[in-house]
Amino acid sequence: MLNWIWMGLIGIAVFVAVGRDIGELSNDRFRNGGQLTFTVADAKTTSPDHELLTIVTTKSELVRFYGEEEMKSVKEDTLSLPIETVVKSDAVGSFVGTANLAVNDGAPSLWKDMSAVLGDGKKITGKVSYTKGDSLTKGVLSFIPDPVRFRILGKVGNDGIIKMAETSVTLALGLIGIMAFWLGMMKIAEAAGLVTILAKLAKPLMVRLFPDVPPEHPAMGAMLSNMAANFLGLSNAATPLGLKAMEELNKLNPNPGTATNAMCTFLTINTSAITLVPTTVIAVRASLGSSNPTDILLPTFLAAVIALTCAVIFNRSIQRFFPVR
Amino acid sequence: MIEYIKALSILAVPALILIILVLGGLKKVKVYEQFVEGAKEGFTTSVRIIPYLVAMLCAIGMFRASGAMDFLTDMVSPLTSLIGMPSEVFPMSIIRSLSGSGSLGIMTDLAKTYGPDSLIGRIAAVIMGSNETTFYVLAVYFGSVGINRVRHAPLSGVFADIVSVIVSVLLVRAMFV
Repeated sequence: MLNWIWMGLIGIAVFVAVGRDIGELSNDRFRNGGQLTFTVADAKTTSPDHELLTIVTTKSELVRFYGEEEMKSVKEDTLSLPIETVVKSDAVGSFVGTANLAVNDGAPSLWKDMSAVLGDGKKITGKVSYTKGDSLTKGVLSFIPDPVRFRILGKVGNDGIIKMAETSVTLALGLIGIMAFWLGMMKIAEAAGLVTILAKLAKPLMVRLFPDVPPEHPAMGAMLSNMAANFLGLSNAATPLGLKAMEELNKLNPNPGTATNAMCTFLTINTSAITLVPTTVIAVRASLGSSNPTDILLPTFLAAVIALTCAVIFNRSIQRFFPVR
Repeated sequence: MIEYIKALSILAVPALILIILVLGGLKKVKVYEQFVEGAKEGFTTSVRIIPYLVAMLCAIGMFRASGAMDFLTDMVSPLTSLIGMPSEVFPMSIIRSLSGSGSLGIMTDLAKTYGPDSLIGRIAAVIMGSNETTFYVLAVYFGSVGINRVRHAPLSGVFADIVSVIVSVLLVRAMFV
């Protein structure tokens, strides 16, 4: 089952990414190869070939170039963005070279998408050309952004695989400390015999939950120990005890191969296990910087208790609709 | 009422530690040595989940990066909004019943994306903690004694899962908003 879900997640991700990329290419969303024209408002030469310019453009010009739909996110009528150029003079006195257009908060979201591919979400790289007169100010600059292709697929590879793989490891290592603490505490609880104490406390309830099981039958003890171990989050100890309980319950089973009422009740309790301290959850929250990682303890406990109570009542009331044949 | 529950939540952890230590002391348990013994497992457990986390976080990461997650959450949001559940938590609530490591991966992804103290992060944490991998438990336990006719057990298990998801959402909303 999980195999299918896992393959489905990856398969759907690639399918959707390819679909959206083909959509973007066929609509020519990024106007690959197209030339944008900006007015230069301010120019500063930082070194002979390097210049830091400020370009100005209007929303209506961008709408003419990219279409109305893509420019909806633009609020200002006039946009002013810094652009860094590296240029050389050519034979006829104009300058050509490469440029990085810095994408700031006011820039269209389309440009932000382009910058995510071309320059770490901060800039759009491309080719630039302009004529430099006495002063560059008020000159005209033409900019051809580098083509953007397969944006989503790239994102799937980058954000999806590379970053997440790294995150998984740093996260898991970050869990060690807090996990160690709680597992240490639970070990003390186990050694102090808390399992036996809990089992004793729950016994009167158990006798009523399992009317078909004799109170002194070994199945009762195994089930109680299993639940107490689950309660303390000792899953390594709980599973063998649970399997032992099933074995004992099966000895009381008149129809081998068919589940008894007691088994169904036992598994209903088991599938909504109440845990005193959900160690891993707390550890994950702590390692991700939660201000109070344990503040989910009580809602978790209450949710489990309520779910368990409802499920046991539900289980009891439907069992007659599922007779043993 | 909510205030008391919140206070109880803060007291629960120190009280629990105290109870365990007092009990350990009464039963003459070598608390320090037992603690260290148990704490050793912290390392192995954390390292053991790395492959599961990589498998699940990468798959979810790809799903999210491709935009498929947005389609899915848009699709289920009319349904989830009925109980006030943020639609982002929906995949988590399904996979919780199927795989412990898988849902841990999704919970981690949600807490990382939206913040562990956000509504989504908290709901995911509570669902994670208050649920069991129903289908895994059923398969292992029934399988171990050769039971094929499982009668109403899966129905009850799924019912428990649904109730705990709904209650998780309601409780987190009541306590933290």
